[in-house]
Amino acid sequence: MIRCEGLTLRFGRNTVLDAVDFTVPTGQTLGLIGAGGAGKSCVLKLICGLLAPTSGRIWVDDDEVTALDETALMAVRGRIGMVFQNYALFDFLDVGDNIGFPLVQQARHTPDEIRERVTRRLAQVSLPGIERRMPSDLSGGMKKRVCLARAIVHDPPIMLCDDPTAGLDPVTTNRIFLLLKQLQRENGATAIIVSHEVGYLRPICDQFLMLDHGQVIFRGTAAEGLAHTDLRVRQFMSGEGVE
Amino acid sequence: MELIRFVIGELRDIARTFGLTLYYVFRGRWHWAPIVEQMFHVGNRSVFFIIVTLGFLGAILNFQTGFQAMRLFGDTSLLGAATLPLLVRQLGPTLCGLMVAIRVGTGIAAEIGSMVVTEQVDALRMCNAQPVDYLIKPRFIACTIMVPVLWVIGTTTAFIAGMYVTYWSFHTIPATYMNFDLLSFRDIVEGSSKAVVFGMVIPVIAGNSGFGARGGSEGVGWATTQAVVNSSLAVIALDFFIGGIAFLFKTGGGP
Repeated sequence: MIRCEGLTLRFGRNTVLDAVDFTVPTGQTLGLIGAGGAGKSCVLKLICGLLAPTSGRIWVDDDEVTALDETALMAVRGRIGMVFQNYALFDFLDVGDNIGFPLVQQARHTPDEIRERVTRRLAQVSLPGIERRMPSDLSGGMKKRVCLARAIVHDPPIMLCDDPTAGLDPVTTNRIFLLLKQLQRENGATAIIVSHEVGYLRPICDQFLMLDHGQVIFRGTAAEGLAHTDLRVRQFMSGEGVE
Repeated sequence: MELIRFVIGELRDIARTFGLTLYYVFRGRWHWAPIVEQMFHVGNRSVFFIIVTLGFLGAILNFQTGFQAMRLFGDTSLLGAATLPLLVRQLGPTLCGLMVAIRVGTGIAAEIGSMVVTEQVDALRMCNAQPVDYLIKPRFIACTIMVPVLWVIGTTTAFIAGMYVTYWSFHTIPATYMNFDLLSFRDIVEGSSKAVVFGMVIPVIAGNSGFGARGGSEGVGWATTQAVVNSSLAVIALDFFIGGIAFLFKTGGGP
């Protein structure tokens, strides 16, 4: 379960998030949508404690993230898999070491176990046998899938995906969303997916949250969004242009 | 007012990073592979510049001092003995520190800065790796070991370069130049202390600048510039303070 109450984030005089409230029940998927600069990525970083809110509280399961110190936050982050908008692959490690990195840091797995899991996850993202390639040798779509493989290598019960298909072709986009759906079904993970690909999100997400200039302007299902009175919400949910 | 607030904020961030680094050095696990790799980078990146810089500096120092000595006394027999303590405790560590700040500090700031702007540092934290532990600690240990090594190499180079210049310019034979009588144990302690302290602060200041990078390549450039400025200032300021402390120990505060 992920719960945010009165989440406000300011950078100087710029208000990025303004009293945002929402709850994602365990095992459900939330689609976080909104125009660029609405504060979507900041919500994800606040949930895993990479940013501290100006005010408001966040819970991940029973842990109040906003009240934890860095050491306690590490335990929470261990339960979260995060797909970064810009891949965030470590450019000094090869693909295999990138994916195995969270397991190495946990120090609970043997090298053989790590190797086996890395191989399995790479096969799952349709990239078998590229363990020894460097991130700089990969295309954007491959990097995204490697980033996804790293995020799920430790079977996290919570997934945060920050625009996992940004800049990708429709075939790869479809493949990544199908993979997310499959993983969600297999692991029963609680997930938040930030994306502009609302058409792909609709079959995956149980509910949607739309932000506009840091404020929540819609919270509900896809059907409710399509029938919403606010034109901005309808346009976003349907993917149509200006009426 | 804005400048004072900025300076205080910078000092607070550096102190915090330094404290965290010391904590992970004494409490965390040591992985030797990245430390050895960083030692190679620090030594390899700087040794050429230090040999060239200190070689020329030793030559200039001896020529100018010898020139004045010839004018005043007509004798350069004590040139080696007089310049060696100066090289060991003052010019050797300071110039080594400045060279490492320029050559290695910029590399550290650029590397960490680009990791920050590409979210790799956030990814490290998400993988339960502490950025200071993972990125700064190996560089801190490597620089703390390698800057004193570079100080020895640099000071020796400057002294030998001075010997050749003295021989060619003033015909002082090497056996006369190689006079260690004025070099005391205190000079060696002062010089090595400076080298160790510079080796400790440069990676922390440069790494802290890297962590402060924001935005894109412009932010990395800003962090790199800040790393050079801050670590060079730190080297010069610490040189003054360590020199002052050594002077107080030597004289007990009197003239």
